[in-house]
Amino acid sequence: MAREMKDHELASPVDLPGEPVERGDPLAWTAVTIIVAALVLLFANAGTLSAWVDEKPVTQAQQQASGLAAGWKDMMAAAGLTAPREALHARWKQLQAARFGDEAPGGTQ
Amino acid sequence: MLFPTLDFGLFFLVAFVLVWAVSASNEWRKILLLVASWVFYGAWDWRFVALLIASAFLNWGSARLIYEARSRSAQKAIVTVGVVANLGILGFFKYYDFFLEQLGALLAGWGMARDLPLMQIVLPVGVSFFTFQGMSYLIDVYRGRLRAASLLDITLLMSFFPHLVAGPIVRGADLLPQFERTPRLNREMVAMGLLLIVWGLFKKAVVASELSVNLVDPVFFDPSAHSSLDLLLAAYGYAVQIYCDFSAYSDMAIGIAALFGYRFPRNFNQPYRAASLQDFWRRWHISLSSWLRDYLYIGLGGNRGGLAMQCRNIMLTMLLGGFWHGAKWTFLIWGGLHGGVQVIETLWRKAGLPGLPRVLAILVTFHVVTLGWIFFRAESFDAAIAFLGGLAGGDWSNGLTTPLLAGLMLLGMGFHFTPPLLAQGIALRLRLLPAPLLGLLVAAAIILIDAMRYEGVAPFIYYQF
Repeated sequence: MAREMKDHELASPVDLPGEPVERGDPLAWTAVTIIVAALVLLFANAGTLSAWVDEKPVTQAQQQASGLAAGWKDMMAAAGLTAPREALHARWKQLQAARFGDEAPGGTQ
Repeated sequence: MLFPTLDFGLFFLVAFVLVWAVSASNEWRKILLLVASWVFYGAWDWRFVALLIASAFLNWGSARLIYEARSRSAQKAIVTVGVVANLGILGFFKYYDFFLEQLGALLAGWGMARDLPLMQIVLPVGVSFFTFQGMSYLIDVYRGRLRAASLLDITLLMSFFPHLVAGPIVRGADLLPQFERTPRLNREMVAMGLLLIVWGLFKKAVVASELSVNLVDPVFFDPSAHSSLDLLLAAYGYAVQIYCDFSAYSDMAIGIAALFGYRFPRNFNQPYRAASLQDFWRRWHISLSSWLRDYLYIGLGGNRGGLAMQCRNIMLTMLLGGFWHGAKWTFLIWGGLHGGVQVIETLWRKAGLPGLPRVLAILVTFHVVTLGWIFFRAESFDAAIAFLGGLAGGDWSNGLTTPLLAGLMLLGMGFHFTPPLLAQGIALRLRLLPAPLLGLLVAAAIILIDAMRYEGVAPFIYYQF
C-alpha cells in the first residue's frame, strides 16, 4: 500500500494540463452548449420525451402531457428529425439479434 | 432519481440555472445546492433526508467540540464518541438484522432457539458513503488537518448530490476549501465534465445494462441451468459490468460536479491493467481504498510493528472493506480473498522472490479479481460454490453469449488498455470548439447512446451499499 502515485493519477480528472482558454465567458459558453444540446434532444429525440411522459403515474395532467408529447413526437417524425435515432436503433436491434453461426437465440435451446 | 434518466436531466437543468443565477452570493449558492441535494435524495425516500441532516448535525457538533476542547484527551474522547455514533448509524441500518440472524442461528445451534426482534430495516441509499465521509471529517479535524467547518458547509459536504448515493467518498479536505469561495468555471473543466458525463452514460446505459440483462443476471439467477462456458463468460461479463457500472457513476458524478464548478478526485484508473492486488486497489474505487488505508490500515499500525502485524492489518482492512459493502458472508469472503492474496504478495516480495512477467501478472490479477466478483455477485455462499462447481461441469456449449455481448465485453476490457491520458487529450480539443458545435456533438452522442441503450435503466450496483 505504498507506491508513489503519478500526478495524473492523483489530480481531479477535470484539471487539464496546459494553459487555459481565456477567451469569452466560460459560463456563457457552458450555458450555450447545454441549451443547444437540450434543444437538439428535444427535437431529434422526441420519442424519449414521449416515452418518459407515458411512464408517469396516470393523472389528468399526465394524460394531457402524454397527448402533447405524442403529438410533438409525430410532428418531429413527420419532419424527419427523429429518423437518425430510429435508424440507429433499428441497426442496434439487428446487432442484438445476431448469433454465432447457427446458434438458436438465447433461452430457446 | 438515477443519473441516466430524463428525470435527472430535467432536475439538473433547473439546478444548474438556479445555482449559477445566484452565484453572486456564495452562501445562497450553497443553500440552493443543499436544497437541490435534499430534493434529489428525497426522491428515494423523504424520511432519509432527516437522517442525512441529523448525521450532518452530529458531525458538525462533534467537530466544533473537538476544535474547542482544551486537552488532547478531551478531543480524543469526543472524536471517539463521534466515530462510534457514525458507526452506530451505519450499524443499525446496515448490520442490525444480519447480526441478529447470526445470533438466532447460533442460539438455534445450541438448542436455545428464540424469536429475535428482526426489524426488516430499509437501508438508506448511500448511508455507507456519507457515514464514512463524516468519520473522515471528524478524524481530520482531530488530527489537525482540517478546521471545523460551518454547519452549512458540513451539511453540503455530506449531502452534495453528485456524490451522495454512490461516491466517490469526497473528503472534507477535498471539498470544504472549495466551498469557502464561489467557484469559477473554465472551459477545460466543462469540456472534461461533459466528456465524463457522456462517457459514463455510454458505459452504464449501453455496456453495463446490456451485459447485465442478457448475460450476467440470467446466469447468476440459476447457475445450474447453464453450461460451463455460460458461467465462465458470465463471470467475465460481470467483471466488465461492475467496472462499467461503478466507474460510470463516478465519471458522471465528477462531470456533474465540474459543471457546478467543483473538483472531485479520480476514483478509477484502468483497474484491470493492475499487475497485483495491491496495484488493483490503487486503481479501483480509489476514494474507498485510500480511505481504508488512511483511517483504518494506518490506524491499526500499518506496516509498523513487523511483518506479522502488517499482514494482520492488511487482512483486517480488507475484511472490513468487504463487510462495508454489505451484511453478507459473501462480501466478507470477497474481502478475505483480496486480503489473503495481498498478504501472499507481501510475503512474496519480502522473501525476495522474482515477480511474474508483467503480462502474466496482469492476467493472474484479473482472474483473482474475477474469482472474487463471483462471491461479490452471488446471492449466497452456496450459490457462489454452485457457480464455481458449474465451471468445472465440462459443458462448453454457448447458450447466451451473442456477438454483441462478446464485443461489449472486449470493449469494456479494451477501455483499460487505451492511453491513460486519452480522455484529457480529447477534452483539450473539445474546449476549443464553439459552444453551438459542442452542444450539437453532445446531443449527437446522447442520441447515439439512447438508440443503443437497453429499455429502462437498472439502478447502479453501488446504490445498494
